[in-house]
Amino acid sequence: MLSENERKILQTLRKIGKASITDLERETGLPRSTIMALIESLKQKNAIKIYEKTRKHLKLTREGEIRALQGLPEKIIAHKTWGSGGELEIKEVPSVTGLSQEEVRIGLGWLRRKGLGKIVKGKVVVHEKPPTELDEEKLLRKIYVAKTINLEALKPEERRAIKELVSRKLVEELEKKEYIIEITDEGLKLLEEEKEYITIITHDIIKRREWLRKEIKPYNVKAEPPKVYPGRKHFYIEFLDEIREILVSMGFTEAEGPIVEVELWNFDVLFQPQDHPAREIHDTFRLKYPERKPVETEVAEKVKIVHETGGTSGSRGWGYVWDRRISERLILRTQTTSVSARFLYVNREPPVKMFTIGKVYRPDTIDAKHLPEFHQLDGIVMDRGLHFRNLLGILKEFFKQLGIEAVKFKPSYFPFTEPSVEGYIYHPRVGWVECFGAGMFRPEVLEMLGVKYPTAAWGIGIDRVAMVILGIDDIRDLYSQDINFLRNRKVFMR
Amino acid sequence: MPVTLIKKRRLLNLLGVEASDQDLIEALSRTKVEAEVVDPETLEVEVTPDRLDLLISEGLARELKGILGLERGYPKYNVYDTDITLKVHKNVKRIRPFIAVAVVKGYYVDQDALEELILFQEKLHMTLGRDRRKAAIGFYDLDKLNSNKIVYRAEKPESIRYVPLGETVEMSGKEIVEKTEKGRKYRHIVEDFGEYPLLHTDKGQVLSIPTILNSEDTKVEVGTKNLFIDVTGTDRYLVNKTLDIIVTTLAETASEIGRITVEDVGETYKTPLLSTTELNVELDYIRSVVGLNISDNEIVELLERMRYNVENVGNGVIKVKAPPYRMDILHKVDVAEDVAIAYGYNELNPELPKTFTIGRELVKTRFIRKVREIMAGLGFQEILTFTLSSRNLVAELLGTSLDRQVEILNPISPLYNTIRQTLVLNMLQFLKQNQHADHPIKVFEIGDTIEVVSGEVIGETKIAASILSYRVGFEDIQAQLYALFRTLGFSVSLEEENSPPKIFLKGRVAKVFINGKHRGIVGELNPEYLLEKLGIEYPVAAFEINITNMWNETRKG
Repeated sequence: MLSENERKILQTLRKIGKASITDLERETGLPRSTIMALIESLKQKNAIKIYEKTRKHLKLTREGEIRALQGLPEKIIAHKTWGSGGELEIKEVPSVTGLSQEEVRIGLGWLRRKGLGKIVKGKVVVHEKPPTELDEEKLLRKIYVAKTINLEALKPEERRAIKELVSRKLVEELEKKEYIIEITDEGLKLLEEEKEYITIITHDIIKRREWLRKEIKPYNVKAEPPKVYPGRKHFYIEFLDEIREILVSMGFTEAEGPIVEVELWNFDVLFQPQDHPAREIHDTFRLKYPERKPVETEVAEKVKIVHETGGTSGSRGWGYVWDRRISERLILRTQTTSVSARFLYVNREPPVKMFTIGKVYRPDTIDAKHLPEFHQLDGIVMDRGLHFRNLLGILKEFFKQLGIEAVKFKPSYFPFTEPSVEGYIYHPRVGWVECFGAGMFRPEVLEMLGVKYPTAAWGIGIDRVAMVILGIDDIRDLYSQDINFLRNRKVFMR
Repeated sequence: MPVTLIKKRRLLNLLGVEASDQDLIEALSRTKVEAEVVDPETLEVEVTPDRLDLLISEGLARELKGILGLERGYPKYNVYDTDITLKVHKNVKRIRPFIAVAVVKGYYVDQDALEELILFQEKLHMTLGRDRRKAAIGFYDLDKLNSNKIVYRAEKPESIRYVPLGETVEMSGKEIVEKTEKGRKYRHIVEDFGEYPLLHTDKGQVLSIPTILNSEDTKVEVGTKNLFIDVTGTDRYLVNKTLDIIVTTLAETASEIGRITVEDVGETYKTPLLSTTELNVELDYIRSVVGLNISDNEIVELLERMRYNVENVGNGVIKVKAPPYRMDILHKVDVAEDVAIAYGYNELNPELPKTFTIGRELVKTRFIRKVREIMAGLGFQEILTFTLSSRNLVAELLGTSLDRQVEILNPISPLYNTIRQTLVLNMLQFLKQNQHADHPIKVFEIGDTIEVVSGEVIGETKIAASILSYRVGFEDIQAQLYALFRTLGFSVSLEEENSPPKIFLKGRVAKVFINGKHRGIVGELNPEYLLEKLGIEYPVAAFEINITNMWNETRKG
């Protein structure tokens, strides 16, 4: 029995007779690799004959390519001479035409032979306007466009021209072996028999009740089907959506903030002193253009007082002279805590529960553990009577929802939180992994933001959490640029 | 965060108990230290920048003794007044104005102690000292000094002569900054002044050019028993605090701390100051911050384990005194944290807050999710590419002028010197890498972009989609564009784009109007650019649309 495509090949062969593989490609629209496979199977069914044939092909030489583009020297000389009033000193020909001495010599020979002009007393003489394009040039251009051309495909009038071009070494003949395929009697018979089968049920077949007259061909159900890929969301984006779902279910409202940030919101409001090493260029991407952005005076004034003396927060501050210009420098945010700070600044009434997921940037070189840009998940809770154990409770619950049962806490330090904690999660595949920093916002920070109630804050390196849970060991795979990796990932269910 | 190496055997000796590696690391994890075993002799410890006293075995042992309940309360220091004086000359004030000096007696230096001491000094230089700019530390063998009168003054480089540490021949100040490694590295700190700070005895024995290099003559080595220490710098508080941290930490093994009389310009005082921080803290405040309902006595005990001196002043208020090595106590909340640390973070019972709230995603998030679902339904694979991008590439291929793109001052590579202003470029890079995968390749990305409009940085959200296959045309991508936006409830119309970016093919590209507003571009890509610039051998058709704030429009409609 014949497959759909085998049938197509045989029908084509019956229609056009002998065919090369290129012919079949053109006629059936099938890719060459598929045709090769079909030929193999048709040969085994004795439906076709294959034999080799040598064909002569014509191809331009390097010189031929130049002539195809610029024209033949005899025509160029004839034109220039005609343009100079029908006469031109031979010694002036190279400078007028731009041809080399050798080309001029050849050109003059052909000029006489083709009767385009004469040589009289050291002068080229042309009596009639020469044609814009010679037959030989037409042919050169034809071959140039087609790259190669079959000798048999030439028209009789082109045969003479080709002889000249070959003799002038502008065109060379190449022999090319080709497979020629021909349908056999067996093949024709198969095609006839196949008529009785229905391979594809179509609208017409149904309407005409053809299944009553013909047999429906059974399908090889065990064969591998062609590969298709569903349109899909990115697996990491889907993971981040799961994170959102957890936080929304825990009563958190989503927020966002700018990626290009002033230092004020990324550092100053978070009580990082202005000479803190984290602000230096090996830890923070700074902008050269634009360099700065004015900051809100109301915030800036508070920040200045708190950094210098602690203000009314009960702190002694950092005890240095705060510089507004530094707080106006533009950077790529190094943490999404800037979003939390901005949110609190305009939402000062309790309770507040906010989260944000966004890109943050650090000047790290790229390896299996580091990227210069990655995602961070930040969250805050502000409420009357909120305490440090509540913060630990929220973090533990969040990871529990993600299927992580064991979370370990450890004392840490951040300039903007106190008490501060960093945390590890446990996964049987990789053991303990450090993945978050958290704490209660310092009184100095709350004073700058104008917040009167305790506020718990955390930042989670969500890329790292995703790697643990999704079984990825190289952070670059989260941002994989390999479509097969993306197409073949299994869905994630928590 | 600063990292250093600690001799395990030294730490255990100081601690006075035996412990397995695991127990030791576990105990350290209850402090602000993260430790890891490097080899049987060595621990690598990472210390938070507020507790730099933990960068040496003495500091770690002191902290662990408290945490483990082996010792309690304010550490005792034997402080005595030495007969040493330091004279500060006026001429050094403009170069490096502040100095503090001290003696530590009975500090027996063996090979392990020497290695830790050198690392301690180096790490303090990097952190507190901001690479010696704000503060620089010198250790000397007290017994090698030829006089008890020390002078701190400025001197011309060519007039300074001594054998620098690690060298065998005498050099001038000029030679030291040119020929020694430390000289070359730190000369910038003092060079602009024409003179260098110099520490020497009244008998002409040079101790060091502070900030640069000590003398071989006074060096600390195995067998040294008594130390002379100086800290110089530009910030008086920091200079004194750095010295306090060093002497009170070394005092964990040393027998005495010796004070030195400093005859400074216009004033005489003694260093080290050994200054403490005293605060009144309400016990209820501590309970409310940590969320612990524990008794007054328990709080006092926990604070004593963190080495505070605690005094009950009545009315539920205590007066705490933090030891001189603590420079991180800015506010009473810092005292509250120490209670939590002493209690043990993992002993605290995590508790969810009781307040009821309703959560909600951003409208933008929900809108984008709908867009993603439609795109997936249309058979597109979502991709995620970097937002860092190349200014010149964007300018060249998309014709975006440079002043519309931000420029990063310190990029890790010229390929990442801006935040993208378009998604389509990274998408083409993606297609280039994947052009030989199974066709058709249909991909999309939604992401934030940045554009500079008259000097102002504007954040936008865009969607780009493209199709690459053996045969792809304008209509193929146009159909998807229309399907997407009509499903979202918008009207779509196209107008000819007569001056498209170079990567698009003139005549097969259009401006896209969504609800009448110009929002993007759709078209076939220019085969010349595909092949020559990008190396893509298949036709590609793409669109990119600015979807900023569309989420508000859908809700209205």
